[in-house]
Parts: sequence; structure tokens; C-alpha cells
Amino acid sequence: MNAEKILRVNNLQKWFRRGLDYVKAVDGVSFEINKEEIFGLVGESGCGKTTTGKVVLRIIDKTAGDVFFKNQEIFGLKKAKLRELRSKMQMIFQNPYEILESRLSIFKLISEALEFHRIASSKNEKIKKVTEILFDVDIRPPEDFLFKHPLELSGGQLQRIAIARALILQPEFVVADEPVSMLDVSIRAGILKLLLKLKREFGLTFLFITHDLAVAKFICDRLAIMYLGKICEVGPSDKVLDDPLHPYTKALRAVLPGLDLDRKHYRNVSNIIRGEIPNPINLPSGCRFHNRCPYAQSICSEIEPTFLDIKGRSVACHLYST
Amino acid sequence: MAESVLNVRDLNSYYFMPSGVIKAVDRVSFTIEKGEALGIIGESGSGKSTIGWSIMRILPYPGKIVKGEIFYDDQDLLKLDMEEMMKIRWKKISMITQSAMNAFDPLMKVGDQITEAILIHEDIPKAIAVKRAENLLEKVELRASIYRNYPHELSGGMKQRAMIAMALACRPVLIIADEPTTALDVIVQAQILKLLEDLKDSMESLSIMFISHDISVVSELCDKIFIMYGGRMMEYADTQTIIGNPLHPYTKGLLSVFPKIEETEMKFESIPGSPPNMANPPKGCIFHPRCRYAKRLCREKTPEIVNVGDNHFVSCCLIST
Repeated sequence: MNAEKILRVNNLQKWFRRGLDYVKAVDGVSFEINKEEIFGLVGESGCGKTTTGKVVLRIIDKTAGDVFFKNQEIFGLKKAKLRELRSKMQMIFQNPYEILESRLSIFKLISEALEFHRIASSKNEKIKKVTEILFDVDIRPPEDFLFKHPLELSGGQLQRIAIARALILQPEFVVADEPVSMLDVSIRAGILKLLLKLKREFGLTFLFITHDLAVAKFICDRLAIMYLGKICEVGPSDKVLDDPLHPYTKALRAVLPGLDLDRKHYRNVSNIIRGEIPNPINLPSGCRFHNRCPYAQSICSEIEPTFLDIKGRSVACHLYST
Repeated sequence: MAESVLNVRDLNSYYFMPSGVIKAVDRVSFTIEKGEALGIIGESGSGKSTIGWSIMRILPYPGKIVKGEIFYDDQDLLKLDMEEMMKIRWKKISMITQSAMNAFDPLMKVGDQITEAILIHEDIPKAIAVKRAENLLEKVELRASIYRNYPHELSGGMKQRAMIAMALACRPVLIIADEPTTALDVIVQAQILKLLEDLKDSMESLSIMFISHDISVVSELCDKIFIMYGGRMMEYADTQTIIGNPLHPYTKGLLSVFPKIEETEMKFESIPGSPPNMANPPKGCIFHPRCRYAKRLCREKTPEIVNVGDNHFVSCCLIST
């Protein structure tokens, strides 16, 4: 794997105004993604993972911090440079069924992006490019699908179309936001394996956003577990998920149901984690997980923990400070 | 048989669309005993929600229950008139869904809605109903003060709990839970599952019909599992058997595609193909286009439901007694 850093996020903050308060959706997040790496942002709803993905693509504005795409700070870029950047950074969204509302043909839906970026002028050129990308996403034979409408396609096929739309511009970096969570379990593997294949073929780098630990373990090389706008643990995915150190990561792993029949993973949930995610307007003091943590000490409510490198990953937790 | 809380026999519910008839529930039979949790597993379009709506007799147009019997306590629900059915619905059998949004009026306080649900079905003083509503909120581990909140002020997990409280308002014997944790995060899901299990074990003989696409959740909570595909039963047995000794190729497929996160070299498999087009389903066995064992027979013959022993039922052309 290339050591070139495609993305560098530095102390990113995104706060949303709510009347006189702020929802600190992303509150000091830093990470790097190497070329051809699949980096995961993993967490439950409200942790800030989707917001991070949107800020990284400059779909929404940041409040503070920096985002570097190949050493270019993206928030400083002006119109022409920004447009060029956008063709290099694309997004795959969660809901493949959204395009069902469209009356456009598959060909039109995919070639839209070519038009916007003024690539491929003639219709024949467009058809050629669309046919190629359909083949790449395993929609075969592609010619049969060009003039179909979304309503004629299955969920899995629709998601492949969504991937085709993202990849037709030959981006270098893709943000995938829960790309399989709305698909039936029996077809998820196909989409995940397709993303891996495309990554290899096109040298893509991914930011992969998900709440599903199994999906994250399968597809991500490294991942960061997020909670209430901050990262608690970050490192290689099998290290973080097979041997979780942060109490929140431990809780996520511990309550995951399985097929082993002799364990009900929900049984001891109240011993593993207490209560509910607090209101993000009223963040707990110190470590924002402390009020739910079974290991909390007094320091946890006073001081925010900093990252420590242990056992091949980084954890922000007072349990591990010497 | 007299002990069964619910006995569904050869249920057939179809949707009569302009383009044709969709057999959403096709020859489905199962029972739920007192204090038992039955899991109904199916992917999208399998018909699993239609079963719940059929039992409650709230099938949306253009759906119709075409054939079958649904015995609740020896009474066939399908033979009751609307007035008699109303005494059962929300009283004896109630329902919780994926999103509490459908259960609650956004303009009314949560507690008042539970109180109102009680008063509609029982002739008791309002003050008593309010007290019961408060007790129910505590039973589902919500603060009694939640009574005064509006639905939008509650988190997803809290709304699900409130919906469970609402479903328990008139002391039902059976709760139909349709994907109650699907939209919830894994930690909230665990809390809700624990709550459901505690309710089942504490409230004498509360039975649960748990409809889901997630076989792992169902395998942990439920005593029996009913596997559905294309509106039909594929396999039906106690949980131990379904997980430990599955016979139907679809069941085996579902179990193999479930990612086992504890494995170091975790595999992610799929079942080839996609769910059937219910407007024009495959002939013969509805699963055959996706089945690795499919033979010619499977394309031609609709499989019978076979009892392979010990209340283990399978519907596969290649499996006979």
C-alpha cells in the first residue's frame, strides 16, 4: 500500500446552530487516509460520521479545522479549482431507492455527471463511457440496461447504478455512506466485494461510513470509532474490533447478536453500558462517554482524555494512561 | 392445541393490483404458545409484515385475506365482525412497528395517548388510567416524567419504549413486533431486546411474534423460527433446530451469509440472484432460481410442507419425510 496520504483531516469541527445552542456534531476529529486504503468511520447515529463525510467532500461547510486532499486545503479553493476537485472526490449514498423517483433512464442518470463536468461531448462518447462503467459494476450486458428505468431494477442493481454514477468521473477518493445498510442481507456481500474489486482496478481510496461492525471489519483496512462527535479509538480494523480497548468499542462488540445459541448478547447490556446517548447540546464534561461508562473514575468527568498508542492502535481513554 | 395462544392455519393474503395478484402470504401455518416468542424471518417482499397485518385484520387496500383461519384462543378471528374484532385488537393482540412515528400522534403528549388507549378499551376512571399509563412507562424503563413529553422530544430508543408501553396498555396476551429494532442502533437494540425478554418472562404468558430480517436477533430472543420467502414457508422449527440443523437451502443460505465477526478471516457471502418478482413469481419452488441444489423437479413442482419430525417443517422438493 502506497504511503501517500490522499486525505488529511485536522481537528475538524462542525457545529450546527440550534437557537442559542450548538450541536457539536463533529468536535475535533483528526485522521489520515493513505492511498488505496479503505478507512472506516464507525459509530451509532448522531456520532458525527455522516457529517464528517459531508464536510470532507465540502458538501457542507466546516466550522473549524482543515481538510487536505493530496496536500491541497479544500476549503481555500475557488470555483474552477473546486470543480476540478469535485470530479476527483465523489460520494455513494445510503439509499439506492431514492432514484426510483427519477423518470430518467439509467443512461441519463449516469451520464448527467459527464455533462456537468463537460467530459465526453458527443452522445456516442457518452454511451461508450456509460457502457464501460456499467460493465465495471457488473451490470451485464450493459447495453440491455442503458435505457431501462430505475423501477425495473432490484435494490442491488440500483446500488450498482449509484456506484457507477460516482465512478464515471474516475475519482480518486470516494466517500461511501452506509452503502449496504438498506439492502437485503443476502445481497450485501456482492456490493462490498464489488467495491473491493473497483478499489483494486482503479486505485481508489475510500472513506467508508457505517454503523455495522461486521461490514466495517470486512471491508475496512483501518477504522475510527466515533462517539458524540469525537473519535474514541482508531487503528487497524481487526485489532480494534477483535480486541477493543475503549469501553465504548467494547460495548458495541459485546452487544452484537450472533448465531452461537448459548449467548444472549443483550442479557447484560446494562452492565456493559448505561442509559442513552446524551443530548448533543448538553455534552457531558470531561470524557463525553463517562456517564455511560462502567469503568468511569472521577478524572473521567473532569478531563477529556487524549490519544495514547497501545497495542497497535490509538485510544482516548483514562483507563490506559499510566 | 388448546394451549396455543395463536393458531394460524393455511393463511392466504393477496394484494389485488391492477397488474395482477400478488400472493403476499401463501399457505402459511404456525402456532404461538403461551409465553413463547416466535420469530418470523424474511427479507424484503417476503410477506412477513402482511402476516402481522392479517392477524390484526388491518391489511391495507388492495389486500385481502383470501383463505385460512386465525385462531386466537379457539376463536377464528377471520369470522368475527368488526365490532368483535375491535375487542381483540389492541386489547388481546397488539402491535409495535419499526417506527414509532406511526403509532403516535405528534400533537399529543405521549402519556395522554397511552391513557386514551386504555380508556377506549376499558371503562375505568381517568385517574386510574393515568396511573396505569405512568406505571407502564416505568415498566419500559422510561422516567414517569416522559408522560408529559411529545413524541418528537424523545430519542429513537425512547420512542420505541413508549410504543411498547402503548402496546401493553390493555394487557395484551400477544404482541406482534414488526421489525421493532431494525431502525435502532445496536446498543439501543440490545436494551429493547432485553426489555422484551423481561416482559415475556415477568408478565405471565406474554407471547411475542417477532418479525425481522435479522436472523441473529431472532435466534437470541425467540423460541421458534419461521423462515419465509416469496410469501411461503421455507422452514419452521424451534430455534435450536433452525440454527443447528437447518434443512432448507434458503435457511442454510441465510445462516451462511450472516457475517461471523468473531472469526479472524471473516467471510461475507451472498445468495446469488435477488428476491422474486412477486408480480410474476417463478414456477414450482419459488426459491429455485437462487438455489444451488435446484433440480428440474424444483422448476415444475411446488413443494409440499413436510414434517420431518419433532415439529420441524420444511418445504423443499428434495426433502421428504
